[in-house]
Amino acid sequence: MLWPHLRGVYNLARWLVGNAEDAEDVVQESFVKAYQYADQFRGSDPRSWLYAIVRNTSLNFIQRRRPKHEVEWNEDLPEPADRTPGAEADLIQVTRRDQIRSAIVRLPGEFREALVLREIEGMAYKEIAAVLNVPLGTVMSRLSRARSLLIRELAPEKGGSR
Amino acid sequence: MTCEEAEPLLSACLDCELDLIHTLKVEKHLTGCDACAGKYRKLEWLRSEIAAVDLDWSAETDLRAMRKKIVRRPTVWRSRPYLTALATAAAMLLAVVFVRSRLPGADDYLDRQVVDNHVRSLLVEHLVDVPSSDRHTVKPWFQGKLDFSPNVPDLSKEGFVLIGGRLDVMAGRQAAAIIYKRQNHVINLWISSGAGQDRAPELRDLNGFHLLRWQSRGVSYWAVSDLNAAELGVFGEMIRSR
Repeated sequence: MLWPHLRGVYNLARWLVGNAEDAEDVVQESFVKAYQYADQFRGSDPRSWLYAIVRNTSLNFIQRRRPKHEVEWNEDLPEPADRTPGAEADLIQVTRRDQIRSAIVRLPGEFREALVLREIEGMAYKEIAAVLNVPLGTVMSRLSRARSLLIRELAPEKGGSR
Repeated sequence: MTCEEAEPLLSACLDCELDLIHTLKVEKHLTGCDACAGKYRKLEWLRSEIAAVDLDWSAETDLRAMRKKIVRRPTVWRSRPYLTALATAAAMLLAVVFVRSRLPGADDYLDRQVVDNHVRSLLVEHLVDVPSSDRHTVKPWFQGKLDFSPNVPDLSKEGFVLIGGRLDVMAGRQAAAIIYKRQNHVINLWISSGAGQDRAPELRDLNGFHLLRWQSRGVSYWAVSDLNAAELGVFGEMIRSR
């Protein structure tokens, strides 16, 4: 069954393509592909397989849209807070969330996807390697790089406070 | 191990993805090297920062509507003879697996109930009776409701955020459900008294969820999540050590 992964793959697509509308298109296209090619699936891990489809569809999508869509860029920025800002702690949480989100979004694509799969989707290195179709060592080094970049972005003491 | 060798491994060490030998080498290096130990603490800090905020994007969209749209796309269910055959075969296999898996012992039956309980807690949006990330709120809340006092450790530094507690029933006994979150992954931890002998932790895979159960000092524990097995194992270890 693929439906339990809908939320996860939507999130992955959303991180990769950068806005809700395109992410939704990517997910729909991916599910259709997944059902179409289900008979060709030989592996043992349908989750990684589905994530790989979504990832490839996202990358195709980005390539296709790059020339024309640049204009609509501001449409989804900034992300509106989806809760009523009651307590101050809530507000702080939301702004910190936006900081972290934008730091992740600014990561180079290959670092971002590895980090999202690990830190947000909670995948093991083996699964990430299957989704990205790269060796384990590559997963390890990309994650290491991604984290150093994020620490540099987000840590209060270095490079001025953010 | 030198700093040059240790540094690229720190991040994998944090993820519990190094083999035993390298883990021990890195740990040994960290005890003697302040610079690397500092870098490791930064990694832990980053993890807790990310874990502390809700990064789920799905709130901005309607996943149910999306699912309906996908199902309505004709290509999905376009009739393909081999697909139909495959589906039939899969259904038969599933039926066999289901029947077989329902047969064996009480443990297995209970494990399934535990996982069902986990799924139900997510479905009905009744995850917590006492929503709080403060262990000093959650623990006392159970007072007078249970015949034991559940341990509610603060694991936020390790990336497991306390969401709250809930009263539940497990194997016919009252149980405390303590809920933690690791990013989008909810962990239900059930604690119930009246267990027999101590049992070492056992990890099971059921319907795409991981279940970790153990018994210690007359108390039974079940932890269920869709989190990966390694991290759920780490979670269990932390609960046991506090």
